[in-house]
Amino acid sequence: MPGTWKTVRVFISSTFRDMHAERDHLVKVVFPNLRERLEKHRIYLIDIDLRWGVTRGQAENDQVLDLCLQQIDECRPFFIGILGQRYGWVPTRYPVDALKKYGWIQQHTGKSVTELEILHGVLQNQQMRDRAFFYFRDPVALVPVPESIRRDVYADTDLELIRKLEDLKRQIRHSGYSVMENYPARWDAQAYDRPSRSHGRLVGLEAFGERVRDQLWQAIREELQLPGQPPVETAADSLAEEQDYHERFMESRLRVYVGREQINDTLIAFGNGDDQVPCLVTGPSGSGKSAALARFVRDYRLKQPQSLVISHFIGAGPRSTNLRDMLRRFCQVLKARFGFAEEVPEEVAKLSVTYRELVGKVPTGTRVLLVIDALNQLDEADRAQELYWLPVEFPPHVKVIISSITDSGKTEPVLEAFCGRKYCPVELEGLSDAEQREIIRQVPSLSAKTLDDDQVRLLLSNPAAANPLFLLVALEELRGFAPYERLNERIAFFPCEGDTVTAIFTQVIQRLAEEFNPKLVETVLTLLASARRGLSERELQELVAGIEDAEDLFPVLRQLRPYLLSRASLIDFYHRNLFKAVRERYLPSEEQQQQAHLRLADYFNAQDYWLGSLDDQQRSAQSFQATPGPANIRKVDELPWQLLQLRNWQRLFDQLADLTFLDLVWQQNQDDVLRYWRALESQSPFSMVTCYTPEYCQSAKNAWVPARLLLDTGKLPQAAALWVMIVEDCRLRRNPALGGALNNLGIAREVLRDLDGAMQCYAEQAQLCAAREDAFGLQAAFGNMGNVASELGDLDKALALYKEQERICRALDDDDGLHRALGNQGNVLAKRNDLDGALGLYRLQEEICRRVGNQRSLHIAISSQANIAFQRRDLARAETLATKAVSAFRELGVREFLWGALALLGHVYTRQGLPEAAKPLYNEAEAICRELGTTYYLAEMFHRLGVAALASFVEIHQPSSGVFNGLEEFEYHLARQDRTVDYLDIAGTAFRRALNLRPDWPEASYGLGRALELKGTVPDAIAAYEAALRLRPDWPELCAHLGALLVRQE
Amino acid sequence: MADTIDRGIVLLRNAARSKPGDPKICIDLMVACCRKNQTKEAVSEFVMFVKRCPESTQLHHDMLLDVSRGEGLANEIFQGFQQAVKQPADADAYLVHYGLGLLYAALGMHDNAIPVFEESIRRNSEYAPAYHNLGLSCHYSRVLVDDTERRRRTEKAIIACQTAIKKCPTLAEAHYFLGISAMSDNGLLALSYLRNFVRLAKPYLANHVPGAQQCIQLLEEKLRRTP
Repeated sequence: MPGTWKTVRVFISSTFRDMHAERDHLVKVVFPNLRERLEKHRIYLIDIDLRWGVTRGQAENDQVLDLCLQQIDECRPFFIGILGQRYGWVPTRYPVDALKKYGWIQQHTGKSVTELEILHGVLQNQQMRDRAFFYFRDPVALVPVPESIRRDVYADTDLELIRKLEDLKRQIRHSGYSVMENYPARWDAQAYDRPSRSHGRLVGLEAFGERVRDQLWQAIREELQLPGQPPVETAADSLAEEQDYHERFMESRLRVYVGREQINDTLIAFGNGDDQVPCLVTGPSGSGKSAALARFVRDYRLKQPQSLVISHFIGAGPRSTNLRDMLRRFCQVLKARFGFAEEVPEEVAKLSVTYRELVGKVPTGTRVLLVIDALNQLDEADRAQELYWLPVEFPPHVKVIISSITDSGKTEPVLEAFCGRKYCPVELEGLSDAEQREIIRQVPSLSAKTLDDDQVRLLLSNPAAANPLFLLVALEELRGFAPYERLNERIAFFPCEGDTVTAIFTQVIQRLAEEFNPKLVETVLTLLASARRGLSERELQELVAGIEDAEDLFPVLRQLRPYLLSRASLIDFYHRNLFKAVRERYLPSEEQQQQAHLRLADYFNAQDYWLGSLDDQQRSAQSFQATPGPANIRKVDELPWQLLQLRNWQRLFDQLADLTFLDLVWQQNQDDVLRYWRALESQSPFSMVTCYTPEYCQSAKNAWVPARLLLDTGKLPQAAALWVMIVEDCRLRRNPALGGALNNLGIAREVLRDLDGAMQCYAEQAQLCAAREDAFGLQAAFGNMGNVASELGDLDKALALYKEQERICRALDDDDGLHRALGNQGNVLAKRNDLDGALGLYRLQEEICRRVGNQRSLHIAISSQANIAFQRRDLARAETLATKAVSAFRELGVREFLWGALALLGHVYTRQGLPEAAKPLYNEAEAICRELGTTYYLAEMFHRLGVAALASFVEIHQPSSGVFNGLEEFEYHLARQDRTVDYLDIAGTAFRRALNLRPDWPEASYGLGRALELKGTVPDAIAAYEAALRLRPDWPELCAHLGALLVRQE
Repeated sequence: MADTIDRGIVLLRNAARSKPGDPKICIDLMVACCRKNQTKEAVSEFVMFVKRCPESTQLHHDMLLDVSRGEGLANEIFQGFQQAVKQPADADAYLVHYGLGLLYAALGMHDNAIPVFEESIRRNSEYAPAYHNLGLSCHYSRVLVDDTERRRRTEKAIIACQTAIKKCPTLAEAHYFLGISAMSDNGLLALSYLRNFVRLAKPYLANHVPGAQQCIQLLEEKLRRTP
């Protein structure tokens, strides 16, 4: 199945010192090449080269054999044996643990570890046939090697060892396994040899490398039955792939797991219980939250196999940190498991609603557990960390378990969001002494015997060792890199105060910088820390090319491997503390950070947009809306992001002005495009309006994305111009995309108040739908036409269209369209002042939404009812309903309606004489509108605020009777005036702000005129009225007011 | 200045075409005409409005009150009506007299109003608002006359308003007046008129409705207490 990732391990067996050149060639050339081929088939390739993991101390203490044989078993069936002129190290005795596990070695005393590996891995196991390969170096290659080096490093001189080696080679040849005899190599006296830190090494290993590559490729293909071409990814594959990341991540977290039984029991009890609120697992960095959740998921699945446990470890997969992708994954898994019919939307706002609906529909007979690890690492985009998407309560059979860090040095927004909620808290504390000892015992490949009791005591006396991550990093350092005789010194040097986890990573970096070229280490780490989503091996190779000792990249990566995360082909830091340590050491200043981003920006900038050939591009570019060849996703993903980090507005603008590139980024992630442009427009003089003109786009093909972008961000005149171009082109080419283009042009025109033009578009859209018998499209077109008719004041026509929409929806059993049709009819009746009729329809809409569980539209219906109450001056009810709608929209993350509900509540408060209470609501609504780029609606909000303020003024100062009904009423109004609320100023300011956003809005000019007139500033009022009149010359009220002012003007 | 007013008039007429029965526009037009010394045209505007909304008699009164007192154009509008009544009689002459009567009433000159309303009735005996306003003027002019005359005028007022209702049963203002007038003497009758008023009251009479309802409540209580 193409969806899931598989891991293939290849064991490299050879003697150590004389085979550095071959192993280096494999690691630096052969395996990266193979890895790249295999990744297209969703296969990870891991080469097990124990050269890096075995210390001299371990080797000298006989601990290496156990480790080698164990690794061979983990790598089966792939094995590579390389032999030169050395037989290899012969253990003097076998360790007890190895003898217990591999009793047969007792029969093979006096043999080298290499021979034992070959025996264990291949010769005693015929199943390895065609999966194990041997390579014998041409002895002639050693002729030019200086005698001392040859004897010391490359060739045995002991006759017994020479005999044993020849015996081994003969045995291999007779076994029938593939052997490459006498592969060529040559001595280069000038080449630098890092292990010996001197000049002179074997080179010219290309033939050897090619043979290894081809044989392994063929063997892996056959073993895993790989197709000739890599599979094409489908939605189901993508889901399975994502799932695979999380499963692999869990697996990695569980390699060492001890204790924490109480936490596990608590989580299992929660999973089996009836609590309807989420469970929040908290703890400091490295305290083992991920491991605890991984353990829980594994155990729960074993104990309750009929339950559905969806685990999501943020950071585990490339898409795991994004709210949209996470919610989509949840929805798709639930849909697949329970056969729900709902479409899984793309937009976050709709997704959070669908997610809520699907969770609510989980059959009571099945228990579903959603486990989300490291919620605090969720991308900040879409305000994910405000948790509006996370229901406050779940059905009793749907359990949610979440983890978050507590000691990041800042207030975590996620934890803040939990402050106002109920949840079941679970806190992870430090490891107990017994748990720490158990970890020391369990850590793979670490021989506990290397640490005597005193050393263990010394290590555990460090309070930081209670943190599992700290302990594991410490053990890794001791295992791999501390000389045996200096263990005590090393243990004492571990940090014990402050942010010890970051500090120990700093020590790891320091050690790497001492062991390798410090510039190389710095470059690798700073680039990884500065990349958006990590870097691939090949990218790193290219990025460090030219640095001295660049060939040590893979050894560096190998040493970092325990702390790195591999997402598809990208390598990234797993632990936030490592990232922090890198930043502190190498990127403390803004300037240094900028340099790193610049390096990456330049690197990706130099790449082509496409991965396909030029011919392919040209062929496919002839079709409309073509995507010529597979895009270079890495460039698309990283380049603009790096430019954004650089705040290099000119380059970012140039990139987004490149329409081909824009198209690619848009296809990859529309939110990214919006984010980049938002930054550009707010922090630089660049604007999309001046960029994406029809002249600039030149052709309809180029205009699609700019047109969508302009439309989505409320740049309507410019959007309309592009849509006109697109529509015309679609008509000309009889393009089926015409319907969509007409719809978009209609929207732009409608908002621009070119209502006749909008109606034409929608009518044509309706014709197209009718011709294609697209009933769904037709009802939508009728809905749009109804909206325009309503705006045009032709309420009868609007109502007829909505009724037709309703009829089609009923025939289609389309509840979604139906409730919209009813809501629209309600709006018409409300306009006609038939408030009872409108209310009836809104309630019907509410009922349908409740029935189908559509929370979003349900609260739209409630918001409409609040409007009716407001119009009826039933301010108390309007306040109740609007508050409810605000709360729901906020929780659902439905920003496009939240601002409206906030504004309505603000209007209610304004009318109640509480403008101060209204102010924060308006501010929030304004912020949302600006964020959404819907300045049209923002203008509308200001306009409505102006209207509400005017109404309040009129109510107070000009009561309908014109005369106060007695002193009591007079006193009442006087008291309200004492609140020093200057409604006319509020109204005037609001209308002015509306006009700033929409200067060509007669209604707002008229409102401003009214406010100014009432204020007594007649000349200004006249000017405002005149401005309105220029835009709407036949407006009776306007004519009447302006006329009245003019005839009275002295 | 004149140009500005002319432009204002154009705009107001424009507005009036879309909103023919809008009293505010009519008032503004009358003001405009008065300010341009086109007092005859001001009266014409009023007459046109009355022809469009013939039964809204309280509105007619309030409009003239606004122009004369509110806008300080009493002389101008009075002059306009004076000129108009001197014009050769035409089909709308009863409305000119009716308007002049209302203007007198608005200026508190009820004695002067009475004969003008009577002249209006003489010219069109079917026009109910003229009866109603005749009744009101009789009622309000009772203060400075002797008891005999006061009784006479009171009776005349009642009869005039009853006639108004006969001519136009939906004339809410007349029901109101008769209801209030009958409260002390004939509770049942008052109740009947006031209930009619509440039922018939047009939006511009909305301010009178709560008072009428209060009276109805009082009367009902009183009637419940009285065997």
